Amino acid sequence: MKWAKILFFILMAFIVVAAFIFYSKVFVYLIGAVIFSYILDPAVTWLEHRRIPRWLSVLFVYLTVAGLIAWFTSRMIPDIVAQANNLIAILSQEGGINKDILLQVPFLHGIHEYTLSLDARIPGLNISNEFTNILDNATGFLAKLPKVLLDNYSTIIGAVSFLGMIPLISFFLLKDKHKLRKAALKLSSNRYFELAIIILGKIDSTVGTYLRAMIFEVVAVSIMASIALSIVGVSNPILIGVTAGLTNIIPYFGPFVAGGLAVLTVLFEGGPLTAIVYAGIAMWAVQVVDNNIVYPLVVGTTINMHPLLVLLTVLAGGWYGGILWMLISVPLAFLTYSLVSVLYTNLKEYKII
Amino acid sequence: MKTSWQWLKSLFSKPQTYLRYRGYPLFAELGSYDLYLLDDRMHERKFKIGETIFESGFPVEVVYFIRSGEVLQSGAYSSNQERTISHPHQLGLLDMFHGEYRSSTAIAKTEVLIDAISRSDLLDYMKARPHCGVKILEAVCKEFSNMIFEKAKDN
Repeated sequence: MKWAKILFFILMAFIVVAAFIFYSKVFVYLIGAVIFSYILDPAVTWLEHRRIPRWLSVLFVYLTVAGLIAWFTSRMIPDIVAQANNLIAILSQEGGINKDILLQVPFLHGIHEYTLSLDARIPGLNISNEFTNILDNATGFLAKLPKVLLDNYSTIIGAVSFLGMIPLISFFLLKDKHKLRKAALKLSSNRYFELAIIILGKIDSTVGTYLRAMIFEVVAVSIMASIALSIVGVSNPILIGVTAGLTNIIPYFGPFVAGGLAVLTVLFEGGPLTAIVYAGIAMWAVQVVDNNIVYPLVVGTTINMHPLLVLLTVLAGGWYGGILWMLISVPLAFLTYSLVSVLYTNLKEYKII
Repeated sequence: MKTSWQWLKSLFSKPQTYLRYRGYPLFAELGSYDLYLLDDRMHERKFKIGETIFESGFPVEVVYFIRSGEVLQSGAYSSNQERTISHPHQLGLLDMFHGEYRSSTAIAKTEVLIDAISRSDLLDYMKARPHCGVKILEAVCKEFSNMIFEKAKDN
């Protein structure tokens, strides 16, 4: 290789690294915009096929989405905020939650009475003390919850401004989707051109299909859970329903989070044991409909990951970046696995490795 | 004012170079808006003399339309004999409907300029625009029948 060529490649590598460092802060915006573009792309393409210029199609879709968000905000957000305030009020009662307040909850009161009667019958058992110790530990955790929410208030505000930037970047990604794709493929040499097309196509179809299916499922589960919980008379149904939709992204374990929240709500409100059973049945029914109708219809196949791997991925995600990463770690791992397997198969078929 | 308007218009419209695709028999019957949408899926590639365009046994993913230059094709299609093809012919159409892997090898005989489209993009395009799909499939049928009669004459 000639020296001039080596120098050119060193210079190019330097420029790429410098650009990576310079733009590193906006990568997260770019990823958000890419996700947003993938979700809206079918609607834009559909309009474009009906002879509406692509830039105008993007504007039409934006206006429709903005209208939907405005409608949702005016109709649903006040309810969700009221329900969230209600839940926080329960968790931050005067003097914080302590075991005495918890022991007033009829269900827990019943268990406490039962442990006392066991202690009376079996000398030296002392199980009621163990039970109150468990409640003490639980209240310590619950009392911290409102503080955690308040401490993260600035993060939430940051997220709102982040959400404002995404549609702007996304507009250009949607409008120039084909130009960007062509430019990316132009970078590949003739030897790797077909391979690059296959990889890009797979990324496009896997990521696009998965993201759209995920969004559809979040909305479907949120609506179904809200309706089911309203029917069985659980308080804060919309809040719990939306939580159910969001946590449903995590396979196997996500549905239990919302189920647990529904049961906790009934417990704190002093509902009878039958109400807990009804809440459980309602959430189970939502899962049955989701697993057997919604998910197979919108995704086609389920995420074929072992439950242990899902658990480890969620734990690693939580360790790495908190709740947000717990939610996105499983889809991210699934997408990475899919793309690596496509890359490996094709590199083999093109006799590159 | 007029110049500003034209400049603004040029930002949102692209030059009508896509009309050249009518030169390929497969797209000869498509309307200009259909070609405009097809252009989004087409990729221009240049090959030097002696450069391999594709090899027999590799996966089939792209159909190549020769815009200029000559290509030497050898393999199953021509009964292990070589043939030279040029504009407005295409490479890979038989393989696209036949199987997963290339049945022939194509090498640039001269400098070659090619319009390439991925198989999945072409099939998606035909699904999204069924009236174009019918026209393209009609052209494919014509191509195949010509090919069969030529073969029969040779034998």
